[in-house]
Amino acid sequence: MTRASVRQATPEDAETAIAVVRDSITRLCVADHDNDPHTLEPWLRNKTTDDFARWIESADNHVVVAELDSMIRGVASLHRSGEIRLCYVAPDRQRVGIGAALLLTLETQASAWGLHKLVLNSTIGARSFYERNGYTPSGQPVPGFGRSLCFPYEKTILSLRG
Amino acid sequence: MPKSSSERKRRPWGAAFLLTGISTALGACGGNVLHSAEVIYPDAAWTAGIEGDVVVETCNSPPSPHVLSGRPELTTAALEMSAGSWKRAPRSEGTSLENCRQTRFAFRRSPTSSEAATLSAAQDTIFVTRGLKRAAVVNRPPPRDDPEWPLVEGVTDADLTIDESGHVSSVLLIKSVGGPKEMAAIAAMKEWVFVPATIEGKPFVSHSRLRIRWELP
Repeated sequence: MTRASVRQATPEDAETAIAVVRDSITRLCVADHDNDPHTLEPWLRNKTTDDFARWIESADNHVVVAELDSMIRGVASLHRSGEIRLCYVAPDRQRVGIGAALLLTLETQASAWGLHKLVLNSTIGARSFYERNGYTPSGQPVPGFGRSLCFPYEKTILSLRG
Repeated sequence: MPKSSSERKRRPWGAAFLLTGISTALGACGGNVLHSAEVIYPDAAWTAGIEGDVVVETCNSPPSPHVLSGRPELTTAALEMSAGSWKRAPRSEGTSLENCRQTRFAFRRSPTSSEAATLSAAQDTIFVTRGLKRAAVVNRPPPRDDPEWPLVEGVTDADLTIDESGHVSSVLLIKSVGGPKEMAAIAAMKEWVFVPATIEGKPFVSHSRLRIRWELP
C-alpha cells in the first residue's frame, strides 16, 4: 500500500487543503454537528482559503498536508503552545494511515520546538483514533461550536536527545 | 563556453555563496550540510552597484538553463552558476513534467544582516554577495537510536536556523516521515554546532536545508 507523505503546507495548497478540511468536517463529524446549521455554519466559518493562508503565514503555527496519490488527503496544524488545532482527513481516505502520519509529523515538530506535551480537543468520532495513537483524556468535555462538544486529550512527547 | 572550476577559482572576484536548496543526503543518520562553491558576481556590475534578482529555469532533460527574468548585467553569471546547480539541489522527485526548477539568484551588494538571514532562508534561492561564507558544521553529535524503533523509508527535509554563535536555534520540518527515528535525528540536529555564516567576517543568522534519506535495509 502506498504511504502518505507529509510536508509543510504552502500558500499554493490553501484552496485544496481547506476543501479537505471542510469536507471532512461536513461528512465525518456528523455525530458532532448532526447536520445542525447552527453548529456546522460557525464550525466552517473560519475554514476559508484566506484563513488557511493566514495560518501558514504565522511562525507560531506548523501546518502540514498529507499527500496520497499526488493529492492532498489530510491537513493538520500545531501551534507553538503545543496545541494541535487541526487534524482532518479526506472522507474517502480514512483508515489508510494518513491521520497517524500527520500526528507523527506534528509530534516531531513539537519535539524540535522543545515541547514536552501536546494537547488537543477531539470530536466524538476522533476519540478512538487519538487513543490508538497514545493520547489520553485530560478533562471533562467542553462546549464546542453550537451543540457540539470537545473532548480534551494530551500526550507526553519523549525527549530523544542524543 | 563554460569555464572549468579551476578557471573560476582563479578569478579575483570570486566569492563564496550560500545555497539554500536542499542538499543530497549521505546516509540515514543525520544528513549533510549545504554545498559551497565559488560563485560569480560580475566585477563591473559590483563596482557599478548593480544588484537584483535573476530567475533561471533549468530542466533536467536536456539540461538547458535559461533566464526567465533579471538584469542583463547579471544574467551571464547566474547562467554560469546554474549550470551546476541542478546536480546540487534536486528539488523534486516527481514526474518528468516536474523536473524543471526555477532558481532565484539574489545579487546583493551590501546586504544587512537581516536581509542576509532572510535570503538564506528563502527557498530555491541562491544568495550572492562578496565575502559571504556559509555556515559550516564543526560538531555533529549522532542521533540516539534504538533497535526497537520502527524502520522508516522516505525523506526528511529540515530547515535549520543557525544563530550568530553557530548554534542551531530552531529546526523546522519541511518534509517528514514521522516516528522516533526522525524525532531523534531532529533532536540531534539541534545539538549540532556550526561556524556561523559570515559576510566580510561578520556573523549573521542563516539557514541551512538538510535532507535525510531513509532507506530500508
